[in-house]
Amino acid sequence: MKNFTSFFQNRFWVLIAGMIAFSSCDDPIDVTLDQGPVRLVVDGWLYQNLTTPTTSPDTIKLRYTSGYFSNSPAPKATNGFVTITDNMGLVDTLFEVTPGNYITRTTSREIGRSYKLTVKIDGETYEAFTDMKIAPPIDSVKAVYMAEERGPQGKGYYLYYFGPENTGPGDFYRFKMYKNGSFLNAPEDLAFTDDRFLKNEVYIDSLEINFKPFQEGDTVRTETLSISEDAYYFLFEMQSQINNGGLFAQPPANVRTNVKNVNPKGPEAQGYFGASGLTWYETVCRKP
Amino acid sequence: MIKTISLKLALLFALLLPTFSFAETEKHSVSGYIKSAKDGESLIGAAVFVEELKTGATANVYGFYSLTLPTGKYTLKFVFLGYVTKTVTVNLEKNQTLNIELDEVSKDLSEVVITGQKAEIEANVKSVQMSVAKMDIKTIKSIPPLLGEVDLVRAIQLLPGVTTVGEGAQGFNVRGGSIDQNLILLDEAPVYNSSHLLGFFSVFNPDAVKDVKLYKGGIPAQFGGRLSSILDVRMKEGNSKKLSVNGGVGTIMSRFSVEAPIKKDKASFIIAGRRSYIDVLAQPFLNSAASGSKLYFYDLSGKVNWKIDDKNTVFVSSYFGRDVLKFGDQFQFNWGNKTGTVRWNHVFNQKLFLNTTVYASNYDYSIGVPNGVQEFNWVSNIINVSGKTDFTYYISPSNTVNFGISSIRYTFKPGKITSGASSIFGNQELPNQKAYESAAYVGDEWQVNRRLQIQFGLRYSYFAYMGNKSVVYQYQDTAAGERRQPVNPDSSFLNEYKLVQGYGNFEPRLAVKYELDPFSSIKASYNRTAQYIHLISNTTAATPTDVWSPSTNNIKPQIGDQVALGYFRNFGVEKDIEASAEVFCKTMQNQLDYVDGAQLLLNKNLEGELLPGKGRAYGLELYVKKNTGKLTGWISYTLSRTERKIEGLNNEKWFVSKFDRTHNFVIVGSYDFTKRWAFSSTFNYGTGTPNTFPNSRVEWGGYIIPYNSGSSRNNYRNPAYHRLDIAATCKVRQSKKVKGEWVFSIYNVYARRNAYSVYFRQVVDQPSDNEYGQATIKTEARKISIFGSIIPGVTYNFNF
Repeated sequence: MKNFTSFFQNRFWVLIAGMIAFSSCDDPIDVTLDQGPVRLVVDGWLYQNLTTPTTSPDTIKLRYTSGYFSNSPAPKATNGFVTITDNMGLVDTLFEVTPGNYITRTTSREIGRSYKLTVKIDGETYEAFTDMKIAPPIDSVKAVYMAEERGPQGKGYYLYYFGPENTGPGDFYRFKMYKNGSFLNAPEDLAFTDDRFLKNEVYIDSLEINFKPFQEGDTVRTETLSISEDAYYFLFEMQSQINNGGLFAQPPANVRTNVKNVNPKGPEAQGYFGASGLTWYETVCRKP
Repeated sequence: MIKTISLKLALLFALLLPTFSFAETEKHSVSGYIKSAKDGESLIGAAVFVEELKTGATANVYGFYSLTLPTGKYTLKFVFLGYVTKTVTVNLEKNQTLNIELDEVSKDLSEVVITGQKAEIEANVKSVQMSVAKMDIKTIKSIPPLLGEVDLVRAIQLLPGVTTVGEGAQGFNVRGGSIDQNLILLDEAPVYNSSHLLGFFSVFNPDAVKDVKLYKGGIPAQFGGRLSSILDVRMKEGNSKKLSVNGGVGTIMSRFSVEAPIKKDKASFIIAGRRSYIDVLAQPFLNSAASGSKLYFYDLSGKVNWKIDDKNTVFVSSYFGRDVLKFGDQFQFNWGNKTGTVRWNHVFNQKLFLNTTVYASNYDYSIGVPNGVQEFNWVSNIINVSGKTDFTYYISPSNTVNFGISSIRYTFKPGKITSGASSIFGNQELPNQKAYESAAYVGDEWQVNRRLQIQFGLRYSYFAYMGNKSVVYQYQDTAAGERRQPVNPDSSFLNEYKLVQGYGNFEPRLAVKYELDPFSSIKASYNRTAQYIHLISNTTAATPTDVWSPSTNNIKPQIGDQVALGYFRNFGVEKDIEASAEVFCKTMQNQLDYVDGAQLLLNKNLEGELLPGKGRAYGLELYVKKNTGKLTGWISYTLSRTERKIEGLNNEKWFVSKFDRTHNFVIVGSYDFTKRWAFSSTFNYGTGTPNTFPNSRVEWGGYIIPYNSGSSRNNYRNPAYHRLDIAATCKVRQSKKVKGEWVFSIYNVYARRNAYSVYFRQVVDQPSDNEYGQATIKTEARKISIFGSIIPGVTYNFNF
């Protein structure tokens, strides 16, 4: 369910590079980079679990930018005043549970509402807006074992997705997978799509969703998250920047952000604040 | 201002044209075709000299020449590089036809060669044309090949003013123009994608090509439709004397061509084909999921020519090529060009030559998944059908007028998806777009006096965008650099193709040459060019899936203005070394860039994703070429800059474009050691292409996003590019008739890993469960090199 463009970028170049007998290579090199001014980074997402409503709060992380090669955890932005307001006027004031990590007090959200994040920090005020949309249920995710010669990436379990898609065009989704409780979050695991090319009211019937096979006994949790159109473009731009190699690389460009300084002359912020309806399904990889 | 220039030019024509025809009496014309005695191929650019008058003429692309002289007895010398000069005495009392065949020079007749070469070398100084590079197939074949295969476009990239974003990238860039600004003509039909295997080889089979000419500036009025250059590729006509077979077996592909007379000296044909076979060689190493994988290309070229009589010749030529990529049953991709041309040369009388061309050209690709839930097949085409008529009127040896008209009908099929019943994907189609491009031109080449020659012309082009039988939108103004939303839907174009928007442009052309002495001259040129179609591509190298878009009510045509100035001089005891220094300056309007995260494929609101802007390029080109002797070759150096200014990008400031190379230095040498052995070598140095590097990291969702706080574009450069290639050719005589040669080549001799691109990423294989920001994510810069080692190649070529 990867969208077409990422389909090209990921598979196409790999295929060609792999098949052409030329000795193309990809080496690390030393580059000296300037260091830019420090900016606030908002990393926050609200979830409404539609499969099993939970009571755990959502976390909004506030960080700062650092040098590209700094290779240490991002500096934490502490002592901020963070609120989330929905379009019905409900205000949630967040609590800084650990340095830079702010948790919500409200744990229940409403599908269809829009949310505004306000961050007051370092004498500046930043705002971000997002919408929460419904996510379609996952009927099942089945694991099928494939021997070496049949699996595209070798032997192991390949997962097949069954479930409806939201009716009507204009829907955007992100998919997450957890293997034995660990979130699969390498750059190549980032998966999202729009329904631009899908049939109307299509039932997703047995769609292969993993590139790398799972092994015997793995428990895999698959999540479907509805995202807004702007969040889709954010992920799309991020994906093309975090692993931007190959012959058909996009020109490097800054990824969009929906976090705006209310003072247009003040320092810009980075990052993204989003919201999703979430459905999930858990699969154990075992031979029948 | 341009309006007044065009007006003045029109006036100039009006004044000059009547004066051309005043002295018709007392003069007669001699005309005909100049051909090779060996195989009957017409000799493009062969020269005729009139000994008595110290004047002359040059054969056109069909080998036709015409001279109009006062009544009298003349000694005519027919001269062409590599051919024995022929001297003919004519008693010119009435108009007459004189067809000439020249014999090829054998090595020991070096005395005679000099004349032919001299004429060729003299053209450097004497021709009014500047910014033009001519390459015959012999030169192209003498350049060290890649994997044993010589290639026309790789040869073109060794000329001054020509660059590429990187090896293996599709197309080439001329004087700071993008790849879609080159009009690539194969026997007058445009080729939309000149590359096989992405960009490693071009679509031209060297066995079927006769002659290549690249116009980088001073573009004559007969050419139009692209901003930066014209690459005029002429196919061989086919041996009209005897059957001849050429072929080659190489490391990655094989070639075969047959040419023969259909009727001796009257009609002949050539048919040439190639196929690559990497996939066949790789097959045993693939696992069964990948078995049945394919990666190959093939092409077929054919041409028939029929000389009906002295006045009429007809040519039919065709090209068909395809690249096929298939990965098991998971993925398939194929693309290719088809062209067909019919041409009719007609000689009305000794002074008026006509060529009428009708062609059709199609570029298409198909991409998809053959079966399963993700089954889809996506196709896209650009089709054009065109007719044109060009007249050449040889008024006198010092004055030739060209005029003609042309019209092209474009059909753009931007994309259509079809899918199976079990597929999650739906059928979708963007409506076809139709457009017409018409032009009329007149040009004149006038030898004002012994030193001064002027070539001037005016072209008027008109583009009619006929819409796509769909709702026509306008696009809302928004913040600079952001996606624009469609507004004001207009349904009046829903049911028929009718004019949505027309654009007309006057394109003045001017070239002037002034000879300082017999061995040096200065030349200047100006040209305006208009381009109505645009390649929509936002990746570093263009891909075969990029679509072409016409100019519409929302996309304005590209307009280019170029001024060039040059000094040309021939050196050496024999004056056999030609040298030139040129400076150029070019401005380009309506250059397209793209919003961040642009959706360029199958987007009916594509126009909202585009950011038009300005371009400029300027530079200095130095070129020295040695044409004769055992050692031949050239040295070229280009110092240049090409920039873009796009609203919403780089803080509204100029930035260097992705194919900018400050310095570009090339040495090409070939040495005929003995009759059997020849060696050649190429060295290439270019400043690294620009790149945008981050100055910060943004940690988000467990990912590290590169961030450039100044939003500057192309603020760094990739490491410099340099490469040395060598080749050795050994001629072998298999039998009396069969001649063969082995070509051994090494590409990238010192195994430099030239940076194709530099990019930034997280180090792979780190603990991935870092959503809560506790883990340290390491980052690195990486360099992609297309060739990481030396690339040897061997090919055996034969002919009989």
